[in-house]
Amino acid sequence: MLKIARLSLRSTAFVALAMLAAAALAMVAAPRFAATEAAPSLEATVPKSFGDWKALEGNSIQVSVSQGVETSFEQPYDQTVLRTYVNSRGDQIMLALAWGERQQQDVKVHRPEVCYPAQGYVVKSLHHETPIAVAGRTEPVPTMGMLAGRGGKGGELEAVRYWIRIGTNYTGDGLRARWYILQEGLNGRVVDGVLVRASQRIRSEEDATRANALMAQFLSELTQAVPPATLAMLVR
Amino acid sequence: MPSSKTITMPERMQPSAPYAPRVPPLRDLAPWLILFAGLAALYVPTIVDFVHGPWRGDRNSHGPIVLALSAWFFYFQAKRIQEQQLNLPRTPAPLAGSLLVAIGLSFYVLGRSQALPMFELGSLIPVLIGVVLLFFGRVIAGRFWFAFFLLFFAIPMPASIVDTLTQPMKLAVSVSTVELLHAFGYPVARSGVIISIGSYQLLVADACAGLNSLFTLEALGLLYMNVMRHESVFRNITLAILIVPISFAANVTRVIILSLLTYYYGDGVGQGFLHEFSGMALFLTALFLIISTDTALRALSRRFEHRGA
Repeated sequence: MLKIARLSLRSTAFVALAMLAAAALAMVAAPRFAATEAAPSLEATVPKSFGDWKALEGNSIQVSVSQGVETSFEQPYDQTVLRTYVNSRGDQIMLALAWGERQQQDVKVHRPEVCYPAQGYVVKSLHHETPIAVAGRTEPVPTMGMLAGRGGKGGELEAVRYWIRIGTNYTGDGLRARWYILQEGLNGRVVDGVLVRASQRIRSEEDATRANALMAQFLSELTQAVPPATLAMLVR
Repeated sequence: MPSSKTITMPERMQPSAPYAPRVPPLRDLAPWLILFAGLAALYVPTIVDFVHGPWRGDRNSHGPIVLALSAWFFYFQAKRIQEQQLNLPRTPAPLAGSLLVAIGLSFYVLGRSQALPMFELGSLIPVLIGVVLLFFGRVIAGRFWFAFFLLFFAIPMPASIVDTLTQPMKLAVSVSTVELLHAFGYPVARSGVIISIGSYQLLVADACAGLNSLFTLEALGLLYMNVMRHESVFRNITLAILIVPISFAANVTRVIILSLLTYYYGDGVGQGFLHEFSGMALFLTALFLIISTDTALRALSRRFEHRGA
């Protein structure tokens, strides 16, 4: 049996009060999530055909936007759309849209350079690509380009072009995204986030340049084809 | 008056009455209850949220185990100190103590309000050290250093750090598994973290890389050494370091078991109940290896000591 050391009632009460105050302060300081208006459904509002592009029927088989096995808590998305579009020349582009209403420090949009390796791919290159001109924004959107493959030589090869928007922030690295989320949070705001990812299977690395240009055009046309409320989810 | 002096004498100097009840009087208990109520106001919501959040996934599932181990060790160490009857000096350090509590509480407010699990739970360490300093002082706080240290293993690390650590471990586990199975003539191939065996494909998931099991084992191993009170520093440090390869070996064993189960009995078996069972196998393997290593180290250090004598 443990003997109980004697403590001063006054000091313990003081410490406990400080603890209670901290618990209350944490509750007050937490950013309130203000659901302004219901976000439109991406599945319904992103057109199945625009310009020269038509979505293929059936499930699009592509690298998922998750990071392997995750609990629903860790799943940072409220809406996802995975489709494969094809144009009149037979080019196929896979589109992945993943939007989350609340971005948090540890529960935020997954980066493709993390998702792909988690699903067995090796990232062969990752670099800043030229920004893409989009509807609804005067400045073009900064994008990333990635080349990923699996199955060694003669295996699959994929060119990926994407942007991640967290609030109004497009900067790539995680630390700056964290800093941005923290600043917004301390100002009482919860920001949303989206991954807009196009990818194309290619035969050899030389085809990547052409794929990148095609995907840029595809993404640009996509932003012109969606209604304004949906556009606000993709770019801001 | 001499009689008034006896009244002002500190109460703890009075010998306890032989018929004192086993349950301490409320007067002694109340400050502790108030203190625990304060801690509960902070960390019960945290634990509830963590059970539904950061602790649920594979990444930080070791958290609650380590937290429970730390709590037990606080009790164990308090009892051990009392039984040793060292009469350690109680020299409260109000300034340092309050300062640490204040720092801890601000970490807590930041972490809890901004969804930073590392800060939210990490604040427990400065808060607890602060409280012990505040009421008992440096000497007694020093006696509990291991309990505070153990708490570090319970703090969830940010996903980005876990991912960068996990990815190479996953690859290493996959490579070792395939090399070993290949040596025994199984039809295996590997592409990244995907293992093909026979007509099946297995994805080595984050859990199989074993960062969380490594943490649990490291915490358990250190606890084992502390409770056993090994005198030899050499043995303690060596064992602590060896737990890393041991944990790795245990994880490879687990993936091999799963691969063979899938190979012989199909996908359903490899992913079903036996998947959970392989987690148990992992801990049994690791425990066996830790105890064997410890025994070997004991023999080794004895030999050295004999030679030195």
